[in-house]
Amino acid sequence: MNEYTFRIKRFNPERDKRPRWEEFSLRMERTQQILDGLIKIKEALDGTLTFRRSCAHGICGSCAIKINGENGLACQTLMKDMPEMIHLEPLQSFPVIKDLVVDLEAFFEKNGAVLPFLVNNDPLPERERLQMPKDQIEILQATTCIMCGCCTSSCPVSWTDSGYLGPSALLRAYRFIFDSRDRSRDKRLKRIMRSDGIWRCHSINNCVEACPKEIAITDHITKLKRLALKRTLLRK
Amino acid sequence: MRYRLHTGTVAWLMHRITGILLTLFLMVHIFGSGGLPFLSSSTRSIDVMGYPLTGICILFLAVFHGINGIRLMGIDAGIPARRQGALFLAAVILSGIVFGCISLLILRGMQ
Repeated sequence: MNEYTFRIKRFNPERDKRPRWEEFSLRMERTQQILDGLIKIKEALDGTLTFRRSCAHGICGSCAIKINGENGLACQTLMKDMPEMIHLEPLQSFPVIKDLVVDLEAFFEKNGAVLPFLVNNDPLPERERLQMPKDQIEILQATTCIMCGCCTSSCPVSWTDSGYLGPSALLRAYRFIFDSRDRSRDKRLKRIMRSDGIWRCHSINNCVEACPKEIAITDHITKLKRLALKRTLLRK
Repeated sequence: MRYRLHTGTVAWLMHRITGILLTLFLMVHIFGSGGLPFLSSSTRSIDVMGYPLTGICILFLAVFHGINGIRLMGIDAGIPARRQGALFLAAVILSGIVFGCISLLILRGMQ
């Protein structure tokens, strides 16, 4: 068991004028997660601490927070990789609801803007819509996105431009635009080619480093840019 | 605590800062070169290129901005994002070499 200090940025809009830092000392195993520490604090030290969590296995993306200056999942970050002092903050650039909980409504709205669902009005096949393995590989990485918001929150363009769709929505667009079974490619392309879409991405790559699922998001956005350029030049 | 500075953020900031400084230089240079007749003669007499140190600084800005621009084009052309750290380092080293070589040639020419 090692001694760790959790330094958490607290904010209660009903009581506080500005965020404040609060420290909690915990003894934890090196194999435990940051999320275990947060649960321990809530259960034993301060019941008012607010944070999101659900699956605790890196699947739902609920516990995305800023850990020592970098975005990540509290359930996927182990104590063995942490120093004795751990700074925890809510995801940057999203409005804070309370403590580590941020308002993701605008984030999900942007994801919704790119039609994040399969559009195919072809006659229904007898069984499922089939896809060739090479077509599946094309979208495989993009399908592993858990929409935690780590990428969008780490993007300097999103910090300064609240209208920018952001890496998450663009990745979602990629996932369906390059899906061989989808039939709404042009509609999605048209949406992401607006001034708040793909051309606002400056290939900063913070999203790639922040993604807990290790998705090379910029590479996907680059492919979208090339497709958009091809479409524009060939007027397809 | 602010978001930790990653290579991409540093490169992005440097690209913008050098771009803004180059634009400012161009504006001062256009005004100073007398290309705009409606300006007063004192404004037109400003010639930033008359100072060797300014010229060297502008050379550095132009070389870095240009080579970093080529790096960005490389990313757009399909160089994997995961290699951006090495790519940025290469751009900085190449900028240093090109800047050093041209500076030497300028300094030799001034002697």
